[in-house]
Parts: sequence; C-alpha cells; structure tokens
Amino acid sequence: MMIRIWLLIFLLTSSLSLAQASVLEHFQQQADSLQLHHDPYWHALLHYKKHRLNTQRVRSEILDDDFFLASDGRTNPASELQATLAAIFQDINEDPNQHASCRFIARTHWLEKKLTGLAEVRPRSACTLFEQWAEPEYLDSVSLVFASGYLGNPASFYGHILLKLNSNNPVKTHLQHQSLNYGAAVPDQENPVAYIVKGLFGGYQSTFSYGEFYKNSLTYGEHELRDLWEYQLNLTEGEVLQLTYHAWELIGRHHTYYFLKENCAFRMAQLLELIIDARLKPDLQPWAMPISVFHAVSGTEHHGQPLIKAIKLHPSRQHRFYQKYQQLNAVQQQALAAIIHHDFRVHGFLEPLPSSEQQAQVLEALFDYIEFAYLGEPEVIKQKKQGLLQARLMLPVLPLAPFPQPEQFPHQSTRPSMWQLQASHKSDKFIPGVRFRAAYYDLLTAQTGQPPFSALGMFDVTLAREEQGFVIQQFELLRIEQMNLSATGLPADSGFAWKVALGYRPLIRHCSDCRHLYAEGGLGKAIRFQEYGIVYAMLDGRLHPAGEQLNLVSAVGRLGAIVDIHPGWRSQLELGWNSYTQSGYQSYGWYRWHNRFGQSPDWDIRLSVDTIQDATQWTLSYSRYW
Amino acid sequence: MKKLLAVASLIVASATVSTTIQAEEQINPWTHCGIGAMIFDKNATAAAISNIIWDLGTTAVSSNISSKDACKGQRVAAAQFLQDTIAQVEEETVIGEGVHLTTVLNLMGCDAAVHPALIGEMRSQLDLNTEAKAETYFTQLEASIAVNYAAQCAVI
Repeated sequence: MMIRIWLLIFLLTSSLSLAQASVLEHFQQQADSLQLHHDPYWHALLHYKKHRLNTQRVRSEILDDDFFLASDGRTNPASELQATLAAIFQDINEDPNQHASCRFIARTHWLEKKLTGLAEVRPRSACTLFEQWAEPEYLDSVSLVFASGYLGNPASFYGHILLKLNSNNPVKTHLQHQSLNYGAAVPDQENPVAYIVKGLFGGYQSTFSYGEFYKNSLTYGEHELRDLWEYQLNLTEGEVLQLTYHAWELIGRHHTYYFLKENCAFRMAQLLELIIDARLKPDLQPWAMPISVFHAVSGTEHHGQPLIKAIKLHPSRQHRFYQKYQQLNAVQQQALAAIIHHDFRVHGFLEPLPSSEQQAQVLEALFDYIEFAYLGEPEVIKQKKQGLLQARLMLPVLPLAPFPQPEQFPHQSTRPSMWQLQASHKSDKFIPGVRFRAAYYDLLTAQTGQPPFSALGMFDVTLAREEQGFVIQQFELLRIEQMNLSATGLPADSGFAWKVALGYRPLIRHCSDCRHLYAEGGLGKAIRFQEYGIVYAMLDGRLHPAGEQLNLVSAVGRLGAIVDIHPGWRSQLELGWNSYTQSGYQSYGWYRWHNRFGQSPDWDIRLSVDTIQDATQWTLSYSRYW
Repeated sequence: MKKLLAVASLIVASATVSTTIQAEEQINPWTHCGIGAMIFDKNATAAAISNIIWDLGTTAVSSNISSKDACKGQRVAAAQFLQDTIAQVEEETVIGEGVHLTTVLNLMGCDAAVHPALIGEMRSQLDLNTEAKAETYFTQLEASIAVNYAAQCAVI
C-alpha cells in the first residue's frame, strides 16, 4: 500500500501534467471500480432524488447550476463524481477558496476516505473562507434549535428549526457561534394570498443562510417573542466536522420551497441524516413539522448513547419578564405596577424597598416589560426606558441570578398528528367513528413550547357511522384558539382571547345530516387561576351559506373553564347558547364536558359528554399520535 | 552603513504600518461601512415572513461584494454587533454584566480579566441621552480602551 502511495506522490511531484493526468485517471478508475457513484452518501451530498416512476433515474433537488461540476451532474451521479475528481486535481489559482476542494469540502473529504492515497497526492489549498467561518479547530458540537410556534405568520405557526455550530473558542460567547438557517425567499410586501398559494405549490425558492447565533436570538427571542430550545447532539468530532463541511457547501444554495413538506424541518432533518443512521424526516407523509424532528431525535440512540446530550432554553424577552416578575415579592410587584401606572417615572416607588438588590430586581424586570410591551416602537421604548436605565445605573453592580432551566421540554409534548378511534352513544344508538388530524394540538393536548391553553388544528376530519354508512361528520380545515392569558395582570400583559375556524359540520339542532360550510371568528376574555386552570367567556360569530332554514350569520356565546386536575387529566367544561337571529330557527343552549386522560407523547384517552337540551351524546375515544 | 540602512528601513516600515493602522482607526464603521443602513430588519412581521434571509453570507463574501477590507475586521464586527444589540448591551452595562456585553468586549479583543474594570468605566461614562446610541457607545468604549486598556485589548 505504502509503495503505491509513494509511487503516486512521485508521479505527481514529477511536475508533468501527463503524470497528473494519469494520477487523476487512476483515482477515477478506482472510484468507478468501487461504484462510488451509487453510494447513498454521494447521493445525499448531491441531494439526488429518485424519479417517482423510474427509480434508476435521479435528479438533484439543488437548483444552482454551479453546484455541479459536470454539465450533466444534476442528473448523472457518475459523471458528477468523475468531474469532482478532475476539479480536485486542477491547479490552484490565485484564489484557493474557489478551488473545488474548498467549495466542495464535504465531497473532497468523503472521496479522500474512499479512495486510497487521494488525501496524500491531491493539490492542497488553504480554504481560508471556510476556516474563518467554521473555525474547525474550535468546533465542539452541533445543536438543533427549535423556535416555538409564532401566530404572527402562518409559515411560523408550527415552529421553526435551525442548526447551531458550537465553538469552544474561549473568547467567543454562544451568541457568536455560527448557525445555519433555511427558509423561503419571499419578496417584501408579498400579497398574503399569493404567499399562501406560492408557499403551498412551490412558487418560492428557498435557501440556506448563515449568521452568528445572536441574529437568531434577536429575530426570534426579542422581536417575535419566541423561545429557542437548543438540543445539543451527542456527535463525535468527526461527525461534527462532516456536518459542518456539508453545511458549508449548502450555504446560498437553492431548493424549491414547499410549505407543507420540503420546508425547514425536512431540510434540517435531511442534513442530520447524513451522519445519523435514523429516519428523522417523513418519507410518504405529505407534511413535515419541526417538532417531529425533535421527537425523532429524542427517540434515537447514536453509538449506543442518547442522541440528545443536553437541552438549554434561550427564553424570549416575554418569558424572561414572566420569570423575573414571579421572583419578585408582593411589595416589589406593587412597586413595579406603580411605576408602570405612572408612565415609568420611578418617583419614590423604589424607596420603600429595603435593599438595592430588591430595587434592582424591579428595574430589571421593567426593562423586559417595556421591550415586550412596546414591541416594534423603538422610539417609545427609548423614551420610557431612559429613566429606568438611569435609576439602575445609580445602584451598584449585583450578582446576576441565572435563568432557571425548565423541567419540561417540547419533545415531551404530544406528537403533532393524530388518529382517533371513537365510540359514541346517543339516543340509544351506538355510533362508531374515526378521526384524523394532520396537526397539531387542541385545548386538551398535553404540550410544552406553545402558548398555554391554546389550540392549533389543521385538516381535522371525523368519519362516523350513521344510518347510510360512514359519513363525514365534520371537517375542519383550520382552527386557532388563542386565550392570550395574562400571567401578571399588568396592562400590556393582557389581551382578548380570539378564535378562527373554517370547516364543514352540522350547525343546527336535531339535524345531524344538515352539514354546512362555515367560517367562524370569536372574541372574548380568558383569565388564569394559579398555574392549573383558566375560565373564559367568548362570543363567536359564524358565517355560513344562507338557505331555506338558515340565515347567513349566527352567533354563539360560550362560558367555559379548563382545569389541569392532574398532569394526566385535563378537563374542559363549556356552556353555550346558539342564536339564529331573524331565521325560523329557535335558539338553544348546550353544554359539553371533555376530558383528556394520559400525558404520553404517543397516546391519550378522551371521554366527552355533549348535551343539547334533551339529547346527550357520550363519546369514549382512544387517540394515537405520531 | 548597513546598520543605518536597517534602522532607516525599520523606520520606513514602522511608519507604513502605523499609517495603515491609523487609516483603519479612522474608519468609522457607521459612515464608511454603512452599518446602520444594512442587513437587519427589526420589523417583526417582515422578519417572520421572510423567516430568515438575513444573511446570504458566503455568496457575498466569496464574490467580494463587501469590497472594503477595512470593513471586514474585528473592530467592524464589534461595531455591527453593537448596532444590532445596543438595547441589550445598554441594559447589561447598567446592570454590570451580561452575555451581550461580554461579546462586545471579546470582539474588541479584551482579556476577560479586564472586563469588570472596563464595564465599570463604561457605566460611569454611559450616555443615555444620545440619539446615536450604538455609535456613541462604540466611541466611548474605544476611547476607554485606548487610554487604560490598550495592552489588554487586541483590537485597537
């Protein structure tokens, strides 16, 4: 073996281009005889996807021409591999960073592992851009970061996922660690309808971008008030490098973006699958969700160890405020409320507090309050914060309490997609049913990392057996219920509870087969009591096609309570009144009592009672989540 | 004669070096590198809709779009960081510690041992009334470093 390598080195250093050509030919033949172009890893590096009908044919999902070194490299793995080897052996010109071995660093390293002697004889170039970006000598680990859901934008309802490259460089903080992000390139001021249609049907290109982690911390934590959950992965040094090499190749590369499936969750899982021998993204399921990647990662063992090494929460500005507020005593909380009430003029409100430490705690909580209360109003923030900063400056430097890390994590929540088997009893009839919900959670679901006591449902359909066989009992395309709970009772920390829903179901009493399309919107108020429950009052307006029996609009008033009786038992009681003004229909009252038992991510049992005047329906269901 | 020539060349060389350093020092990252005007969109909605896209990094770096070398160094990185996170840095300065503050001082190449003293100085000089908060903070920080901590901070 050594003789062969020395012979190769001799051939190359003889500085004859002929020799170089024959060395290249040697490696190309070696690659060919090893059939490296069929290797799944090569296909993964080039993002080849099999043709749906002819699995012998492949096409790369990367759209950029310069990602390929062969003219037919997009569809021909063998030709791309040969061209890559040829490019690796090309002379290094003025800018070594443009050399194939620097641009395609993961391919080069993989070929070096596969082809004996290649590492020793290939031209070497200093990849300074890569070195500056990754600082490989300090690369310590890789984290997968989950940004909790954000109801300000439909594409962010289900959370977001990004990659963080952790460094042990002693003069860098975690804010300076590199991160890799993936998202659609959406023009500014895009029409919302175009945004949804293009997002669903591949009208946008998406790209991998990079930046220091502080930019994520600002965007998600400070501007969108989303928690960032960092899952550090248990990878070897070599695997961290492998991942970083390919991440480098992907920066600035484009794919076609599909909101439902080929999204951030799919691409980040695909990237991780390069080094982790587990299925982290769905194959056949037509949607991919960020939280599912965390569920998959949490259930994966790697080299006999759990893949997750540690979990760290980077709390949002709002979360930090809640935490600091809860740590204040009653007198401090009163001082804080008084300062807010007096337009952030400190006056003499701090003096009654016995120590500088207590005064500082109030002021520091107020910094967070102002930043989240006046989000998007920098001038107002500046003006209101100035006196508080000045007051804090007058106090001494005091030891900072670390943010307490939580005991519950997003991956421990119920999985997002559901099958449910139902057995109902109504008017002496047994009604079997089956329900499917693509995503995500309802008011009873056990979850962490989403707004508490909220619901976000999409594509929720129930089939039930009636006299004529199984029929669609109800279908909901979308349901969002946001209780906007106040944790503190302070002015900016309260809002209206609201709800929107679009679907198809029975809307009138005593007519279970009279189903209607509807759009529903509701507004109300929810109040939290302790940590374990809420009460609420809502008024919903409902729009549906007018018919012989039904007017265009109806209204529903609701009063309800949701209580966590035990971590494994959540109960909801709701009383309502349906009103059909100016129609032949009589208004009527109803109540429902729904319960969820169990707190596993994979299953629960539900028991519900729905009563409309004299008719009562009991339903027992078993839900399976994935 | 040789010795004289060597000394002369040393003087010329050091003059050239110090001119270069001075030239870099004189660069104001805000006016010369366009820091205040670029990249980061603080509008939450826009940031959410694009759901990223704040830095197409490599493309820009490798094609030398950022043409001024002087705008690529640690000093400008510190200025950029300050511009983006001045709200957090200001809070942490009045509090006396914090990860954003540590990051700025790291970017200025300051030994961890001098961070507390430097933060103390910044607390005593902090101008809360200025409009150009990040730029003023940066100027004061550079001045403090130049006067008292030049030996402990690499980026000066």
